[in-house]
Amino acid sequence: MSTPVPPDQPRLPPVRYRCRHITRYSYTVQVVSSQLIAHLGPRELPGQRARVLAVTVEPPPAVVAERLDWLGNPTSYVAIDTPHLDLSMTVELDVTLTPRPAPDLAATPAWEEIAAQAPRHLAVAEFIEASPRLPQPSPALAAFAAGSFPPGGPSAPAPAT
Amino acid sequence: MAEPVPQLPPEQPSLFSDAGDLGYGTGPIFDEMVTGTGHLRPHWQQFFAAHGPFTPEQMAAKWAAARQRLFLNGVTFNSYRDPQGTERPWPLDPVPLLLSAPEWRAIGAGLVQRATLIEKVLEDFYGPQTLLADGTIPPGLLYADPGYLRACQGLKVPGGRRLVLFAADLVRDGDGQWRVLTCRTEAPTGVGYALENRAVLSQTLADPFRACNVERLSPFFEALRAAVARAAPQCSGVDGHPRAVLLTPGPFNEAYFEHAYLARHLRMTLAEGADMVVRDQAVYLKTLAGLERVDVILHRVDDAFCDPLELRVDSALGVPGLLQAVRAGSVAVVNALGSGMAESMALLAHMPALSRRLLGEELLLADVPTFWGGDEGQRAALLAQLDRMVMRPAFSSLPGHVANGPDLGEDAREALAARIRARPQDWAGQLPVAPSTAPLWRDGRVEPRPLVVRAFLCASGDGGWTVMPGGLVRISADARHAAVSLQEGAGSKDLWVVGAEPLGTVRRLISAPPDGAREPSPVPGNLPSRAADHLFWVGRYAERAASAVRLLRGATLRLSDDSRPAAREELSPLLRLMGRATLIPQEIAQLPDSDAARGMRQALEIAVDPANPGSLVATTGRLRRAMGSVRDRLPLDSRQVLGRLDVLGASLAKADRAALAVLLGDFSQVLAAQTGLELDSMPRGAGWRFLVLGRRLERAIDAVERLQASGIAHERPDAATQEVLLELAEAGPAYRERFPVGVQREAALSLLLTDPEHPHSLLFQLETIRRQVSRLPSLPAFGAAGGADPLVRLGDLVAQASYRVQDLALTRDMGLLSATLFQLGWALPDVSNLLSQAYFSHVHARAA
Repeated sequence: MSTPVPPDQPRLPPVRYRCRHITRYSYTVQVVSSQLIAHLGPRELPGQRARVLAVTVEPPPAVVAERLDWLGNPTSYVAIDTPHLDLSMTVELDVTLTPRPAPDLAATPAWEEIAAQAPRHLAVAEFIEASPRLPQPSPALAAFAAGSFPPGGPSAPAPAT
Repeated sequence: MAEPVPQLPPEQPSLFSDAGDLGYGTGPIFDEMVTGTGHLRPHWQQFFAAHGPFTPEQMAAKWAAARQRLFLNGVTFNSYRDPQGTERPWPLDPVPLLLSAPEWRAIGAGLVQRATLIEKVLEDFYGPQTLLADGTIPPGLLYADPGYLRACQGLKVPGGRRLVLFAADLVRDGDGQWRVLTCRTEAPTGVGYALENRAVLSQTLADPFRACNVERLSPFFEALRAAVARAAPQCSGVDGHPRAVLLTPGPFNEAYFEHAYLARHLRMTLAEGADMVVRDQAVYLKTLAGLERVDVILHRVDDAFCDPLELRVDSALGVPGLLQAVRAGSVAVVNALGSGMAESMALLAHMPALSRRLLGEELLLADVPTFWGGDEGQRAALLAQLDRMVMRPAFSSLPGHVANGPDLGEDAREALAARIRARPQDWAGQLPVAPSTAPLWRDGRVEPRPLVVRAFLCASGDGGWTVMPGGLVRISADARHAAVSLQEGAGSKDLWVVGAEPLGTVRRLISAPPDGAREPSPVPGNLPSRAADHLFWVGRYAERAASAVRLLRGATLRLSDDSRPAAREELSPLLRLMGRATLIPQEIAQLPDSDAARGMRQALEIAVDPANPGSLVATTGRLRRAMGSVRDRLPLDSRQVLGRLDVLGASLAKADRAALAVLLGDFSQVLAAQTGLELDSMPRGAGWRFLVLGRRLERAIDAVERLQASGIAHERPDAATQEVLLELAEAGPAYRERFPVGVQREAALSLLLTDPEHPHSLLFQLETIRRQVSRLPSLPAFGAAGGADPLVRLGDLVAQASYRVQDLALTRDMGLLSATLFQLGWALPDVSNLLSQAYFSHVHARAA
C-alpha cells in the first residue's frame, strides 16, 4: 500500500531531542529483592531514530539485560538484590525525528478496500485482532468510529475542523 | 511363558467367546472386541483363553480387587466441579482395551509424523513465521490465539526439542479408521495415570497379562526420563546429573496425584512455583540448605501461568523471572513455553496443508474433520452444517464449552450462529464421529461404550520419537459422544498392545539407554522449605490425632464396660483432659462428677463432629491434607494410610457408640502403621528430622498441657486422675510393675516427666528434640539482617527446657513443678514458631 503524497510540500529539517526520564518508587516496607521489566525508550521507526544514552538504576542492580521485544520496543530486564525502600530509574535519550511528508488524506483508497486487505497483510494483521488480555471490542466505540467512515470514504479521513 | 493356545478362526463360534454368550450387544458401530457378526476379534482370543468368560462373580471380584488396589495406592483426581473440592477415586475398568501390535505400530507411525509436524510448525511460529508469509496459514490463526505468547518469540530452546512429551487423543470411526481428535502439547496429562492403571491391571489380571505378551511400559518411562535430562543446558548436580524439577500447581490441581507419582517415578523434585526463585538469570530451588540450582523444569502449570513477570501478572503459580532465565539459556522448560498453542482446533483444521508444506507428505493418521471459523471457506461449511457439528473454542486457551449441534433447538442454534458470525475466529467445529466401543463392566454385565485413546510420545535422542506401547483409554458414560474428560467423570481403561514378537527380537523405536551422565536427578537430600513445613505438620497432626484417639478410647471403654473398677470416677478427669485438648467445649469438660456419664455421652458426639474445629475428624482432615501435600516424600505405603484415614474420618462422623469403639481401635492401628513406616522406611534426612520434630514437639506440648489440666502440681491426685494420666502416657504397665497398688505421685511423675527411657515421658521428647535440632542443616547466609542466629536461640531454648525437666526435685517439689510447667507452656510453642520462622517462612528473605 503506497501512500499518495501531494506534490510541492516544503521539506522540514530534522529535530533532535535530548530527554531525561525519571521513574521513582517508594515502598512502606523494605523490598528485599525485585525483578522488573521496563520499556524506557521509543522504538526505531522510519523518520524516528532513538538512542538510549544511559540507564541508571538506584539501588545498583545485580542484572541488567537489554533486548527488543516482539514489537521492536527496547526492553530492559532489571534484577535488584539489595534491600531497598526507594527505587529510581533514570533514562537519558537522544531522539532524532525527521518529518515525513504528510500524505494527501483525501486521496487514500476507500476504507473498505483497506479493511478487506488487512487480514492477509502481515504488517497489520496482528493489530486487527483483539488483544488477548484486554476487554472485548466495545460496540459503542465501534459505532462512534463508524461515524468518521462513510461508505466509500477515504481510509484516512481528514480530521473534522 | 504363555501356554500355546489354539487359534480359532473368527467365523467359527468359539466355546466361550461369542458376543451373545457374553450378553454383549452388537450394533452398527465398530466394536473393539467383537466383529459386526458378533465374533471375537482374533487378538482377543488369547485374552479370553487365559481370562475365561465374563461371569458376574469373577468380574465382580476383579473389579473389587482393582478398586481396592487403586484406593490403597491413593490414586485420585480432584474434581473442580465438586463443591467440596474433594479427591475422587480414579475409575478404572477391569477389562483392558486390546490392540494388536501391527495395528499399534501403524498408529505409532502416524503419531510420530504428527509430532514431527507440530514441532516444525511451532518452530516456525516462534521463529521466522514463513508459514504466514507464504500464505499457508492465515495470520489470524496465530494472532487471534491467546495461547500465542509473544514473550516467547525467539526464545531459546535448549536441547533443540520444543516438545519433550506429546500426546494425542484418537478415536476410531465407523469404517475402522483411527483419527486424531485433539493434540496435547502444553503439559500433556495422563502418562502417570496410564502407568498406574498398568500397575493395577497387570496384577489383578496377572494370567491374561502374561498370556497376551503385552508390551511393557517401563522402557517408555526410561526414555522420557532421558529426554527430560537431555533438555538440560548443564548438569548442576554434585553427582554430575542435571537437576530436574516437576513444576506442579499444587495439591488442589485435578491431576496432583499424577504429578507426585510421576515426579517419584522419573526421580525429579516435585515443586510449586513458590518453591523456586530466579537469581542472576538462573532458577534456584529454595531448600533447607539454601538455594540449589535447577537445570530443567517439566512444567504442569499452564504456559501462561509460568512467569507472572512476563506472562499472566495474576498468576501465583509461576516463578517470576523464569522467562528471562530461559532467555539467558540457564534453564530448560519442557515442553517449551508457548507450545500450548499447537493444541488449537484452528490449527487442527490446517494439518493436511501443513503436512504437505513442511513434510511434503500426506498425513498418515487422518483428523476428525475440523473447520475453523476464521477461514472464509471453512466458515461457510461450518455454518451450513451447524446442526451436525460439535462446536468448540477455536483456541485451547479460550474459555468456553463444547456445544453439540444436534442437541440444540432451533433458537439455540440461531443464537450460536449469530455468535459465530460476530467472532468467527473464536470458533471451530468438528463433524461427529461415532467412536468405536469397547466392553465396560457395569452393574454386573459388560456393555459397549464409546472410547477415546490418549497416546503418548517422547522425544528420543536421535531427533526422533519414542511411542508409548499403551496409553490411557477413557470411556464415555454417554453412549453418543466421544468427548470425554477426567472432569466429566468418565471411566478409564488400560491399553494393552498384544501379540508382539517375544522381547529381544522386537525392533523398538526406543533410543539408546540413557548414558549415566544425563540421568536427571532430584535436588539431592535437600528439601524444599514448603515440604519441610508440611512434614513438620504431618508429625504434629499425627500425634494430635493419636492423643485424641487415646482419650476417646479411654472414654468409650469406661462408658461401655461398667465392670471395670473405678470406670465412673475416671470419667471426670477424662472430660477435663478432653476439654484441655479442645475436643469438647469447657462447659461439658467442667461438669461435676455426678453428671460425668451424661456429659461423656454428649462429649463423644461432639469430639467426632466434623463441624467442631477441635474434633478428631477435623484433625484427621488436617493430617490428610498435610500428608497429601508431601506424599511424594513419605514412604510408598503411606498412601494406604492416607486412604484408610479418609474412610475412617468419614465413618467416625456417623458412628454410633458401639461402632465408635471399633473405629477408634482401627484408627489407632492406622496411626501406629504410619509411625512404623516412618521409623522403618524413611532415610534419616532433613525431611525425617522435621517429621520427628513435629511429633515430639506435639507430644511434649500435649504432656505439659495434660499435667497442668490434671492439677497434679497443686494437690495430691486421686487414684482416678493418676490412672488416667498413666494410661494416656502408655505408662500403666510400667507403673504397676514398680508399684502394684496405691497412689504414688512421685513414682507416677517420674514416669511421666523425668524417665529418660519411657517414650512418652516429657524428658524423652525434649532430649529427642535437642538431638534432632542439633542435626538440622545450618542456615546459610544468615545474619545479613543482624540479630542472633535463630538456630542458636532454638538450641538454647530446647537445652534449657531439657535441663529443667532433668531436675529430680521436680517430682517432689510441687512449687517447682508448677513453675516449670508454666515455663514450658510458653517455651515449647516458641520452639515451634522459631523453627517455622527459621526454616519455612524466612527462607524467602535470604540472600543467594
